[in-house]
Amino acid sequence: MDSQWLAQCREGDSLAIERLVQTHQADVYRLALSILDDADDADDATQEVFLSALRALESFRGDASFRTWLFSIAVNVCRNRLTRHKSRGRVQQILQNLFAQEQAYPERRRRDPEKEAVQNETDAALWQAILVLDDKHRIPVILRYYHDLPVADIANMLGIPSGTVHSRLNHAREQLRALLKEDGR
Amino acid sequence: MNGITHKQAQRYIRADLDGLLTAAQRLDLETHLRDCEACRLNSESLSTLTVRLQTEFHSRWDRQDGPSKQVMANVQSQSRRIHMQKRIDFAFNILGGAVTLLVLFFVITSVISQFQKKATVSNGTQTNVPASGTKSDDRLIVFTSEQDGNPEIYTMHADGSGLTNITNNPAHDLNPYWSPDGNRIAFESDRNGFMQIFLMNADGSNIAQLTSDEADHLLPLNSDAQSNPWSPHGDTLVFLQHGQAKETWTLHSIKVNGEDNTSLVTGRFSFNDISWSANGKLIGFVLDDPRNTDSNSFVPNVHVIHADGSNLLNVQELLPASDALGSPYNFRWSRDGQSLSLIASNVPISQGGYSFGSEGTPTFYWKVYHVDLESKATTLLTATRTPIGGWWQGSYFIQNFGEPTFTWVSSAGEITTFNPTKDCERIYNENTGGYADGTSSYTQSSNGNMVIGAYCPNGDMTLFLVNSQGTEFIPLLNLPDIAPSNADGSFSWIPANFAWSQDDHFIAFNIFLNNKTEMYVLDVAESIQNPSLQPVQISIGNGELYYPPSWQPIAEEDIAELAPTPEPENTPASTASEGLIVFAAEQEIYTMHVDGSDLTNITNDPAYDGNPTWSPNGQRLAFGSDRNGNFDIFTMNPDGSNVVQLTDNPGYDGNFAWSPNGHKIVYQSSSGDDPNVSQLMVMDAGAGNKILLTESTGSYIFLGWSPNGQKIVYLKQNLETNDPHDTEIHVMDIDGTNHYQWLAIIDEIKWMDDEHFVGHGWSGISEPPSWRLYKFDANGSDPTELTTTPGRIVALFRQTYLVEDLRTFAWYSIEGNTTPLKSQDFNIHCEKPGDRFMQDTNHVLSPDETRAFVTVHCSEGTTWFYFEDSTGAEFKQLSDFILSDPYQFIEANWSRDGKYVIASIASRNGGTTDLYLFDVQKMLNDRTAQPIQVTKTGVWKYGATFQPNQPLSFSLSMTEAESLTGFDILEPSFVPEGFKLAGVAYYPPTQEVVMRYTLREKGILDIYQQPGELPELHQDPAVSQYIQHVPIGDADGEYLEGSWEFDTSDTTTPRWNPNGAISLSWQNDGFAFHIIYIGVETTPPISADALISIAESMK
Repeated sequence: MDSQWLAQCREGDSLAIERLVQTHQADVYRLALSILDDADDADDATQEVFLSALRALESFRGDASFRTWLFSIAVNVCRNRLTRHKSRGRVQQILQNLFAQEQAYPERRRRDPEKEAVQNETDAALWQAILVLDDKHRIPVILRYYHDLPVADIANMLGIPSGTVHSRLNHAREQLRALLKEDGR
Repeated sequence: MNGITHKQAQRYIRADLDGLLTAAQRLDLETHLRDCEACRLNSESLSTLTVRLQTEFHSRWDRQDGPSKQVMANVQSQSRRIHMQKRIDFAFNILGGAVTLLVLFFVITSVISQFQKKATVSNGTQTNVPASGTKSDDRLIVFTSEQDGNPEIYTMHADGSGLTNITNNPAHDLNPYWSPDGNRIAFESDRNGFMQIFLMNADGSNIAQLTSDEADHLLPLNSDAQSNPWSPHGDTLVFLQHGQAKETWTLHSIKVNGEDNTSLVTGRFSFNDISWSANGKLIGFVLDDPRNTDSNSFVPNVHVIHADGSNLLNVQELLPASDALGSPYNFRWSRDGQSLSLIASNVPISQGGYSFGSEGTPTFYWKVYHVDLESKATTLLTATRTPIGGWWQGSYFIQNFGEPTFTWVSSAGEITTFNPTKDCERIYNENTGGYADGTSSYTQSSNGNMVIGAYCPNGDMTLFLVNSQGTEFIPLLNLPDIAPSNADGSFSWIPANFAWSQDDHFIAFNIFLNNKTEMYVLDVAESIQNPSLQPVQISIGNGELYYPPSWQPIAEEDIAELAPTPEPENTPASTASEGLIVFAAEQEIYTMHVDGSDLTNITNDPAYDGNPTWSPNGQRLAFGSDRNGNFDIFTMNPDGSNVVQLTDNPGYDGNFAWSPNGHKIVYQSSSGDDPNVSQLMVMDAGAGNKILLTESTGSYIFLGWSPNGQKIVYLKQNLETNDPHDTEIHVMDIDGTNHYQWLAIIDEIKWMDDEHFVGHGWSGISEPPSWRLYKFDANGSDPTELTTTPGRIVALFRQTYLVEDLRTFAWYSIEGNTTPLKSQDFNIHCEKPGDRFMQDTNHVLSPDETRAFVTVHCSEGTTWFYFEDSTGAEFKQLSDFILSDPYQFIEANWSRDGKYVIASIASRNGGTTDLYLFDVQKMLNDRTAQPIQVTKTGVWKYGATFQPNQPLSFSLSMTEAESLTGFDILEPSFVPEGFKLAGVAYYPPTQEVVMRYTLREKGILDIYQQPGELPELHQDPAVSQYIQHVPIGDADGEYLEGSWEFDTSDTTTPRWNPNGAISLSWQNDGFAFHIIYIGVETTPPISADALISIAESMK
């Protein structure tokens, strides 16, 4: 992305912004989807990423490619969303306990909410193992094996040394292998 | 085996997977693998994993096409706001600094200003905590107990005396209710077969059976002290009659003499919260939604029906379809009985449970609606992303499910949090492997007070009283070992409800412990005085029993008098003294009065005219225009007259900023052959003396003038290179000398004095991101890093800065340590915390930089308006005016006196903006006050700013002025005979206080006091020759006859009038003082000696 184009985006030029979004939206969406694994959430995250980037455009220094810079914002946006999901999950659990305990007229008692889980059966054991990984290890795995990004780019996006990315990938691989072995597959 | 070891081979295998092997290393590895089966197996296993991962990921996500089209549309519409925000950040930066000549200008203009007495508005905050010992309490509590083996009705006094079984019948007698006059008791009994409704006297005599149908009859369950079967006049009762069909009940009314048994409405499941309006005309209740077709679920809807059974209204149908009744699903009648308020939520309840759905479901909200039952009009009073637990006359509290902390928002917008379990002993639970948490329950009285029961993992229970505004938290009672927890850390039982007496003097609650239920009765008023006071305990029976009591009513005059809720007002503020507002719209520049009147296009030129910027004295407007073929800088009078073109280069001239005294303008120019090279220039405000400060490729972001106007700071960005360090902050003198630069990304600076400034900015790409605050020395020394923070620095006040970190604000001292002065949860209304890269909040500092107008943008859908001071001691919702889109707020600016904020707010579709006037002082006293929309034209407006030359308003008392300034004002003990104090004025930008004395409208004596150094009032050598040095105690006083004045023909350049005024200036104890006398008539004159005597008397 050339500097003139970026300058136009900084000035709020709608054509330049449209070009920016069109160029990168598919990649950003796929990255968000791969981390969040929820199409609607990825949609929201994609929007958030572009708005964040437009705000932070003044701070883009050009020492990484624009795409890498955009991806680093996307990873951060997605991580924050994951954190929020976890706290929401906790609330959900507490709520279920709370309503299970609630005492009132029998007819006022509320049923426990039903739990729904849609399983993707393509490689259920592997997916379950991936879900066991924490974000610190899961995100490099996704960036490496789905987005096919070089370790140096992943390091740039996550703001950590390449060696750390490599060691996280190693750790993740070993953990996945151990989990799959436990599962017998 | 070849040259690498097994260990090296393993390392190479892993490195190969990550693309980190060189060709030579890969060759070594392949050779090794040929000979080493174990290594080969390991490599194959990892390769298999790689293929499985890739296959799984691609099969899972490749099918998705991309983001929805809405993403592009939203980014486009919201990017406009981002751009405008950056513009206003820039514009705000150039308005800093002291205004020396303004002091004298005020003196001249204020001669003709009118004195106004500021109306004081009292704050309606109140506590309503009952006073102790206001009456000798002989009232009774009536309740159900099984202490003799079957349910009987008992009465006793609140102190436990006089316990009497007033039914004494082998049947079930239960659920008693006092009549409004306290003489009769309604109750249920199956003594004649079915459960029927009876009446009796307070001593159990004079029993009358009201119902006799062959069906069970129930009185509403007295669970929350809100339900009541008795009409306010005591002549009618309502009750429920079981229908033939399972779970069908009919609400009936009946006169207390047994006549007029009327069937009102039939519904599935039981009716909840049955209560009468205060005027006795309506009956409200919660009933299953008649539209609900799921026989197993209960969808509560608030209904209202006339007492005669007519006009059944499902209040829910007046609300948006997505707004279900919130939990707790109750409602509150207004005092006149003509309206009610209720809490609604979109949390799904349609499937029989309060399900939170799966992750990724839409966000949840809770709202409070006011419903006028006559007009059927609904008003949204507030909305939050956190469950609202209770609402009372404009104040409400919120509590996240399962979390112990309560947050109150008072009717004045003040936010207070309280964790009743914070003192619980932490206990490690071996079964769960973690620390157990405390929990709480609460009941709000009909007077707004609340009792909270807090339960600790060690079984201790503490009761707290909280007033309706959430500003007082009073411990009432501590009971050890009363709420034992289970093996998993949860509590086996805690009280669900507390029964308040009508005057909040008493509460009663049940405790289930050791398989027995006991009722506890607590004297709230006495417990406030003595928290060690123990409650009265009465046995209710064996097992877990839920029998709510009823308090005998007391006379109306004994109930705490409540202040009425202030009515929202939307009348234009008194803004006559606020001068003009200027803004740009559709390539023209407009002015208008603050109330929106006299809207005038002052440019009226077919070319582009924009970026209007007031001169510091408010007498000229600089603006950019391409009316002569390319962008140049112009100035004009506020009425559009006297246009002067300042630059005339073939290239671009713009990005300008006035110097603090208005004498100079700094600007950016691209006047050379290479359009990519731009120059930073400075010139006189009259267009002369253009000096090239620097030139280079890249762009300049001007950050500010030093207070004395001798130095400038700017940021230089070079967009042409990929050098990561190519963002520099520069400082230089206005003649281009003493030029220093440092590598740093700086968003904003603040001058500490004429030699030092602080600046903050993002560290650049880092993970996690960090923001840094530096102190810079304008003399070129290396900057000092004052702090590095993972949260974004969002405001830089005079002595503090503010860090936003996802959900919280923390205020820190610029010079101080790393412990925050105060922390505050800022997005209580938002479900989502902010993103570190997103600016979710916006802080527009007041002219004196001690306060800020704050917007909180909830990324899921709303914008809220807050007010904060520089230390976080005050942080409150400014107005309950809410924007329903997070990107509607564009920009805002304060009036120079700090009274008003003008905000630009976009329409929902983002195509136009209008200006809204926020009366900050009024809103601080009354959160229901609404901003006034002052423009109604459908175009995009930007850059709205107040004219800065407002005459001082001498409307303050000395005490009010001291509370505004925060420092002691020295009052003279001597003023010449005949002079009377007319009032005190405060000018926030320079923190000046002016005491005005008048002499029968013949002369004015103003005494200025200002922290810091004496402004350079008399720099001009032509003037300084007239200065006489006189001693004021130990200080050197400067006495001068004559003053600066402005001609009407040239309002930029002041001229010296030797007969204008007499003045005396001196410096003392960190303050600058200046006394000036202006005579309307020449007699009686005031002498130099008189001024010196005044000064001497101020020591």
